[in-house]
Amino acid sequence: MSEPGRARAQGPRRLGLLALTLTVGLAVVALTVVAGLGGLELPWSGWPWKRKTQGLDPTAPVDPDRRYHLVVWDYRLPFTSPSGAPFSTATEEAIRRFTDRYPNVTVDLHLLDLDDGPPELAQALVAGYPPDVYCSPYGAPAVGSSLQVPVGLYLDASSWADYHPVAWQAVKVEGTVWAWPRWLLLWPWLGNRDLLEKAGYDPEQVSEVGWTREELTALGRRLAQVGTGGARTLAVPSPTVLLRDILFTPCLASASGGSPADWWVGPEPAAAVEWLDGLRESGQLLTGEKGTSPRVIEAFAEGRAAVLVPPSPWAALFLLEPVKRPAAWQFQLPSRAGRPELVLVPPPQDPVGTGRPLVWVSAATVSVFRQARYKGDDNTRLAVELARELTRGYRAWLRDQPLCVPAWVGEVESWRASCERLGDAGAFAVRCLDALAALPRADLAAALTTLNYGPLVELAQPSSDAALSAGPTYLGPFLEGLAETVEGFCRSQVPRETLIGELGGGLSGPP
Amino acid sequence: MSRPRPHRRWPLFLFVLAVASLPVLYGPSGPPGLYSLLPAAAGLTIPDCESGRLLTLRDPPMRGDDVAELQTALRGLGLYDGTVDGVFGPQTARAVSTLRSRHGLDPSPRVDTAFWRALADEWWAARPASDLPAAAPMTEPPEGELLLVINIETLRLTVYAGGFPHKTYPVAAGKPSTPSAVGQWRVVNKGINVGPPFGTRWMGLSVPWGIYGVHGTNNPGSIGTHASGGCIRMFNHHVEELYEWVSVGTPVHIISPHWPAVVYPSLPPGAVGLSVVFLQWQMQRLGWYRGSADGRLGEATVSAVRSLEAFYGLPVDGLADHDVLCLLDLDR
Repeated sequence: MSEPGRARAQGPRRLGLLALTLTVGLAVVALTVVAGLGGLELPWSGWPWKRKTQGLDPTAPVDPDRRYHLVVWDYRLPFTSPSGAPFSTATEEAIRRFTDRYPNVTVDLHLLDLDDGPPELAQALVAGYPPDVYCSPYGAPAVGSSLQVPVGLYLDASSWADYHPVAWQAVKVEGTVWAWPRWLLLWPWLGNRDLLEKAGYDPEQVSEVGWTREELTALGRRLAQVGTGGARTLAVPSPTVLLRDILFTPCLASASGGSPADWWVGPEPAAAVEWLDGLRESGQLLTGEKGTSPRVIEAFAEGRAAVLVPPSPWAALFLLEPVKRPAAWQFQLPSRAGRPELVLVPPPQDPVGTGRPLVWVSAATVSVFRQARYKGDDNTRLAVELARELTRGYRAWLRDQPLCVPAWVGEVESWRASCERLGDAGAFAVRCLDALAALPRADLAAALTTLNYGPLVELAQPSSDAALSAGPTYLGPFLEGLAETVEGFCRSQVPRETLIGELGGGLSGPP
Repeated sequence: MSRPRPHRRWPLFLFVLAVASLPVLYGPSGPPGLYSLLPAAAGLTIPDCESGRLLTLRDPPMRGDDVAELQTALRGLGLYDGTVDGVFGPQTARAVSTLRSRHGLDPSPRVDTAFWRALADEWWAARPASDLPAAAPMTEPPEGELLLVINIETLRLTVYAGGFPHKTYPVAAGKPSTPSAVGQWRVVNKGINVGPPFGTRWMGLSVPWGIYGVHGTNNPGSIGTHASGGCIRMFNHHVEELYEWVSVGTPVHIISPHWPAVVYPSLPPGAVGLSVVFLQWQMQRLGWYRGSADGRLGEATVSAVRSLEAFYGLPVDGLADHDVLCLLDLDR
């Protein structure tokens, strides 16, 4: 072939090579960009220009020249300050204190309705974009997501002293602190003073030193003997709360000795269910019928049961009415004349009393999350700091709530002072907190973990890698997952063997 | 100043009455926005609260609350000393004829627009000057956001401007048999001279179970009493002043501090009525509900109930059942 002919043939070949080179180059650049944004794991991910996503560095410095943006979710809680400011004002003030310290941080506050919050968080976790900071008035401290940042990594020695010891146990799961404690909630029961006295019980003594399951069983018999118009022993609007409360003291006595899985198949849960079965068989449980308008709390308020297992401490406080309401406002409320006098009592202990009122305790928490696309260790550190700030400054809103104990020690004295003002309810709350504080800390943490998470405590470990690979799950309180079975049991629709079986590990794990 | 001649508006009045009754007939599930179909400038919605019928002597005699109110007014002027029994009998007819004659009207016992005007003139003439609410000077227009609070126990309407009381007026409210609608309403329409029973001004309220308003009156003697069919009556010169300040959308709260709240459990979404007002009011008071106590159990109310249930650890279904009412202090 002549020279010009070869040159004509090489022209298209060169063009083809050039196009191929360009295509490959563009593909490499595109893949690298995608990988750099966190959407793909590539063999060259160790290259120096790849954005750092590994590990959590609690000491990462905050860049004063960088603009940070944090998102906080909190709930609309029905509390107002003495000046009438809504609860969100307290959160806004905490955010303002934080941004005064960190002027290069902007914070967006999103307020949740109480019924919508948990599903919204679950959805955000599945999507990989939870808020940086999440304030929860209820639920367990660890949500079972690899996106949750355990704030224990960021604690220094002084932080431990800043919060009540019981509060730390309430946010710990198997030694890891998962969230900042905001406040503690004490979960007592409510007694009808008149019915207790008629049955020969001293309400003050029960309130001060507690009672046993056997004494509660005997209450039903005595009520029948003295003729109280068929009053039942226990009104139970929420059977899972009842089961959890009667399991608490036996769990305290033995949970720290072994694994939660062993405890749940041990004798204590079965014994508690059998005791409940006895109450149920003798008609001493007052529960709502499925599908009908529940009238359990109403029945207790009308004196048709001696003891109420309140569905929450807030419900107990509302019925107890530590702060009197005005009789007439823009209309007249129904009269409470003739209502029974109420007294706070602890759940029964088993097998013998400890001489102290022991009640279940839960924590309102402030959790920190990272997102699937990691914003950096400095961002996480700021979120942890903001979360810490959000645990303070609520006393004005919770001033009349003796069962709500501030976690931050700077406010505990103020709580104790308000308890003195609030009479018997306040004194009871102080006794309960002191009783919890006197427990061995390991026992308390183990019992709370065991009853919160059930036999399967399998929490995702914090890791940015895990965040990218493992699908996050929402881990709710264990017994709530069994609510249908527990309710069916209390309504005599589920045999006790079924309930015992499910408690002991008939579960396949968190959803 | 020439007075308007309201009687010429009666055909229009009847037309509007027919249209306005549609939302009441349909109830909460009816087509929305019917109020907006009414010609705002042409007489607006017409209330249930005043009968407006022409009274006269008939066989059998006419009966009703309007007759009783007439008898009370005539008695106040010393023209009637019989029983206030709500029966338009010969004695009532004589008193009506006497008043008509005094004012140069034909003496037939007809209670028509001219009669009511004469009765109002006579009532005002009989008041001592010191007792005349009319003697109060006109007030400067209020500044800031307006709120009207009507206490149907003290029979006072107070205008709040920017959160501070600006002026208080005496009013008449509903009779025990036809009470005024307590709740948190808004002015939904306004009108001038919509009909004789309503005096010179009308301001309709957003009450969902009937047509109620704040209006003037042709029976000034009823002010300060519980005499109306549920509306709030004011002296005409008062309502004329207020009318200038109030716009469509102005909130109007009707309160009754000793009215016992009765709430039926498990009201379904979409329910309408006083029971819903009390439920909303109490939830608002306890921090659960941020809307108005407007008597309609809508999405915001259901959402508030759901929040309350979640907070208290009850099953979350949005129904204010017995236990929810117990935790709202509304159980009986």
